[in-house]
Amino acid sequence: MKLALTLAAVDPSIGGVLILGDRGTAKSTAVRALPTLLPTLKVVDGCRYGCDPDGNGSRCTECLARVVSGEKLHTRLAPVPVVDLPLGATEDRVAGALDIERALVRGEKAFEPGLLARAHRGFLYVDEINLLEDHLVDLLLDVATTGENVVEREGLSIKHPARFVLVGTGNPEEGELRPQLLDRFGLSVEARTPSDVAERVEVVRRRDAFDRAPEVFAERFKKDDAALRRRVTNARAQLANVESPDALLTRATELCLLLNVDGLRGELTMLRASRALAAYEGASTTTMLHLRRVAPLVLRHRLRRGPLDEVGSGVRVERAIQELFGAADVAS
Amino acid sequence: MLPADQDARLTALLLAIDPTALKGAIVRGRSPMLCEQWLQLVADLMPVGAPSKRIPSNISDERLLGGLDFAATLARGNSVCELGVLATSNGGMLVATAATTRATTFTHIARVVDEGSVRVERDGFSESHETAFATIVVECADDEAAPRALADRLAFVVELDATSRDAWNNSPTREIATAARARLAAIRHEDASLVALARGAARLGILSPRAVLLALSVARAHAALLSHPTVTEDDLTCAARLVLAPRAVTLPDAEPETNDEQGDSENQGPTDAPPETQDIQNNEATEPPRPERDADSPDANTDAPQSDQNTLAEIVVRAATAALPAGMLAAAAARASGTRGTVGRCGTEQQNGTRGRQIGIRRGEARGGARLDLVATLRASVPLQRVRREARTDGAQRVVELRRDDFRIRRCATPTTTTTLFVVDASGSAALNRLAEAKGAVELLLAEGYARRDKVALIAFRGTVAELVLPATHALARARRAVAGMPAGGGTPLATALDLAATVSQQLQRDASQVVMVVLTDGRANVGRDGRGGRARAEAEALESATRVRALRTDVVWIDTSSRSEVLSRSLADAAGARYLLLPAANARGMSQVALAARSA
Repeated sequence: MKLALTLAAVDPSIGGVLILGDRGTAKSTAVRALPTLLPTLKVVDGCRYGCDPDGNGSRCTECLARVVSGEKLHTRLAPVPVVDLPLGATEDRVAGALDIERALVRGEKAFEPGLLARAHRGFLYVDEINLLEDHLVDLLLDVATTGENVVEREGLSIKHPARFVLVGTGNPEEGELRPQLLDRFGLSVEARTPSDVAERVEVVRRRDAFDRAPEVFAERFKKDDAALRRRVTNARAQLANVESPDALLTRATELCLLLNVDGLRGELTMLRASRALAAYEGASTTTMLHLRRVAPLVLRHRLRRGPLDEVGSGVRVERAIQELFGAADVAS
Repeated sequence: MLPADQDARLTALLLAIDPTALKGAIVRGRSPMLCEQWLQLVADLMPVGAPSKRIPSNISDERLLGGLDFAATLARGNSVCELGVLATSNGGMLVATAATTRATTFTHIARVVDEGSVRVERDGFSESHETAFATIVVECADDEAAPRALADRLAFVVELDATSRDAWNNSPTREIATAARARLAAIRHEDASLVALARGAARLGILSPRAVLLALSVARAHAALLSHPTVTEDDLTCAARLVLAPRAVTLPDAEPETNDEQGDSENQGPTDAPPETQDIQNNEATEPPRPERDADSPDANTDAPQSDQNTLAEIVVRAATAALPAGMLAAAAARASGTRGTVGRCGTEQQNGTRGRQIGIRRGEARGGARLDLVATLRASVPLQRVRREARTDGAQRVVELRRDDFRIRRCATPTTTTTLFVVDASGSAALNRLAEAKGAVELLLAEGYARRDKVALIAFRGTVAELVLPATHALARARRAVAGMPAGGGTPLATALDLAATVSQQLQRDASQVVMVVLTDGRANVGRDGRGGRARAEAEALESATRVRALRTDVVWIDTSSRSEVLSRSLADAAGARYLLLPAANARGMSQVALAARSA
């Protein structure tokens, strides 16, 4: 789980992370921890959509207008947004809508950006994603595919970039996920309760300490957090320099073929994820070891399931890896 | 006085002492009266003025979470956020009935329980309100249970029985609770207590760390009640009995392997749930050391002497074990064994339906059977009236400026029934013993479906005809009779049978029923639609009908009853878009599981 989130933090283009798991496996807790681990982001000062000052990708209409009018855009540092999309959210708050207050009081038509705008260049976190209402799922899928949010309302026509890493958690017990949505996730992990008693004692102890004195607790782990943040920052910088040999791609393709994975997203994501892992570990080239470690994360949710499959997809992925990579000589 | 009665009183008291840390309780009782009395007891013990609210079964998200206060907004001319029930229950208690409350409502509650605040991202508001309360879920009947995700977050399970009533006559008073509450903040606990609870929980097969934290809070509340300055052995014993015992999955002496399996299969919910967890767990099961040994191994994180912790953990386990009523572990094991799949999915609702009870509104137009929600539509338009009037250039005066954007339609949830439609080959070529197995599978599904209020229908085909032997029914006895009396022998009019199956499925779908079709045949079609023989033509027609079945988009399970996999049968299954299964791989139970898997997919 930690690995998957870290990889997504290093290379957002991997796609989202899906965390499935039983009750009490700290799914949500892990995601909430993200902001502390992420390096700050350069954004255009005064931009409501958090545009990139370098204009990588698209700019929002407001920034474009400012550039066109010759205004110089100032830069400010902001934390990477990790936006929480609660289940009960209404469509107008997700996509953005007319500012009711201003419409009511001043009779003005003003666009009030929604959660999608806030999550731009960051993370959008949906707890219990399998229970999200269908029309919101559709909206998310649309935006995730195009990287843009389009709102046509009251004669206002707003289009703004909204690229984010979708992080979803859920308990499969409570409902299935739609296949289209499942496919949008780059990585998936299964969260489990540690079976080691000492580890569990520590989990409970930490949580108890946190509940009693959150500040003291945060102080205790501040150093670790900072170290991790530095590592992610470095990995991001290194990402472009990491080389991936062709053999690696071949192997990834073989793996996908062996497992009968539909589409090419599997290979692509595996390549990106192993590159991110290599960068995170300070390696200059990706190796088979990297690939081997990310493969289960990438492939687990992409397998087609047969009617009477005795073995789960996780095991099937593991077997295929064994077959291709030979006996497990890898200590991960 | 029975211990159970004392516990009912004690839990009420503890809950009232620290409602926000203990999060609440599940109350089970045969009679609603009894549950009401217990609720009253809790309410009487809560702080004066603490809110005590009840969630109506059909509460809208708006009322639950909060949103635009329409009246106040209009009156004051600026938007006013109205707090939902979750926010206004802060510091008090919130009562919900398991049977009638919507699943999403419970999900919202669980979220608030976790975060201690309610997030409002609605109607243009983006706010967060701190709130913490005791959630009490009443399970009065046997059939509906609170969702496990929520149950896991609440400290207690209170079982009420008829004898309890008299015992409450000398109920504790509010003064006692208030005094204990005042002492609560000063209560200290040693790390050893926490470790003991965690170890105890592990030995009882309780996976969720939340149980340990809740047990600790209970121990603290108990210490406050008895004026202990720190958490004592006595308090831990009480916590073990009240919090850990109801969650126990294994007896402490059981092998760790079973711990893993049972705890794990618990999360396997629907029969189609990914089995990988279990497999992985099984592989790992050999790795984790037995709890006993682990307890002896050096533990870097503990400062207290090991032996003390072990005895304390032992006490916790013993207290919990002693509180286990006979047969309860068996029930837990049955619940966890996964053979029954989910605990009754009769509550399954088809979201976004156009019929049934309303569960919300969404933007959209009243097309395709969707119903316009007039009030919601008008509400949506109100804030924009001024903007629109000013934008109007033709000078026309309208009472209400409505735009298409305002249209709100009702989202309804239709409770879906699932009908398993069996299409059984009773021809001579399908060996008779296969037919017996098919009958067995139908009977099994009947029994399981009965508990879930599913329906079963059966089409049999032989000779030249296919016949709906059993129209969709809940009636168990009737279905059994029809299945048992099914004759066999003759040709295989597969095309006719599939046509009939498609027609029946269509009818069922129209009645908002989810259909799972289970076809049992060897695929050797030899009678055409017109009742005449001729293998080649019969096969071609069967293939055609199979394609028609596919167009229905229902779940189809194709069970090949021949002894070896037949190419023809296989291609027919593919044409029907079915999951293919060779019968030797499936006995009656296997078959019923496949069908169940299909229905929950």
